[in-house]
Amino acid sequence: MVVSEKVHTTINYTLHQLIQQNPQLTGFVIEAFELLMYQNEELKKIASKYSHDLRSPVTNINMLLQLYDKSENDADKRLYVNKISNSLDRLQDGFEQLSHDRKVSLKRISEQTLVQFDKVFDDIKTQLSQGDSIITEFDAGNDVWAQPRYFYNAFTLLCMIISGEGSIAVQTKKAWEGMQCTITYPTFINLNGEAKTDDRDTQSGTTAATTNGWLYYFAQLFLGAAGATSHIEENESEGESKIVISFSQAN
Amino acid sequence: MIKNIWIIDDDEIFQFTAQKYLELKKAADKATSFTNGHEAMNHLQQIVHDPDDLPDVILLDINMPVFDGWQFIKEFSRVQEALKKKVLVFLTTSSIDQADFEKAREISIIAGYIVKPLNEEKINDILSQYNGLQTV
Repeated sequence: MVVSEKVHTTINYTLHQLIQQNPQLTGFVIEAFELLMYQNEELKKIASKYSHDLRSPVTNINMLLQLYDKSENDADKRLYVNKISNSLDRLQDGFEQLSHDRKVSLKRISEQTLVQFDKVFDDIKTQLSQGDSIITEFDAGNDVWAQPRYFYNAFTLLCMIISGEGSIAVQTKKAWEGMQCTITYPTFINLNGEAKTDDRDTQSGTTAATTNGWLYYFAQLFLGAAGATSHIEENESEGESKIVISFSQAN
Repeated sequence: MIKNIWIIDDDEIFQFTAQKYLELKKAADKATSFTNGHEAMNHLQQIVHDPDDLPDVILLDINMPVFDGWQFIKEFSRVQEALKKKVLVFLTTSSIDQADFEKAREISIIAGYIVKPLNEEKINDILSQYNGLQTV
């Protein structure tokens, strides 16, 4: 997915708001944004290269067909047909090359993602080590298809930072499909977009604070860019909130 | 009719079809093809003071190995002052990349930007610019 100017502006605006509300996330947000833009540039390069490489034989065929149409000489017509055939071979080669390059490029993007999010992940873990957060299971173990793992890590760790406590159980898969994440919080965070009060604080008599609806939107931007969608279910019981996020491949 | 036109393009089929089109339209007396900018620039430097051999129009491909269209334009702008006649340079490309179009618009020595395929209408545009230059 190549991000259009409009989407780019929307992401920029959203991230700007995110940083304003949560200055402690500035480093992570900037790095994540740079990563998205890097991926976008890589995809643009592929699109631009093939705008030329695939159009070239097609434009030749177009010109040869017009010449064929105007020609009254059989020898010329045979020559045009021969050159059309050559152009079709070139087109075929172009498609095969496109398929190969796409795989190479996606691998490169994936590796770059791995390196950048490793760094971000380490930074976040350092912050978390000061609190009560417990990571019960945390290893996707798949280097080839790294994006789900790292986007997922970034997303769930953001939840942990917001709450400062809780636990995460991860059911990892090689791709988005079937991957599931269960986050259990003693406090309630609303991920569906509406500001809610913190149940625990209200019960203890302190002033209720609004929670972060933007988090869900932010995560959706990431997931969309990575080619995935998510479905979130929230359950509350006896002061404990459980959020189950089921991932699936975007169509 | 254009006296002398150069087609600088690494695509042999484009060279062939462009020459056929020009022939069919009786648009040029003489058409010469070069497979890259370097080859064309070497030849240009040899005939720089000879207006009879100099091209009147150049159809220049952007994407070429060795020496692409942009590099040719850069070199051409250096020798342009020494040329004994005005040469119209048209960029021809299969690319529909807007960035190429914007870049071309900023370079004054480029007379036009032609997205392939070449057709009668585009050849007429080249001819009318060339004829306009002759009447000045």
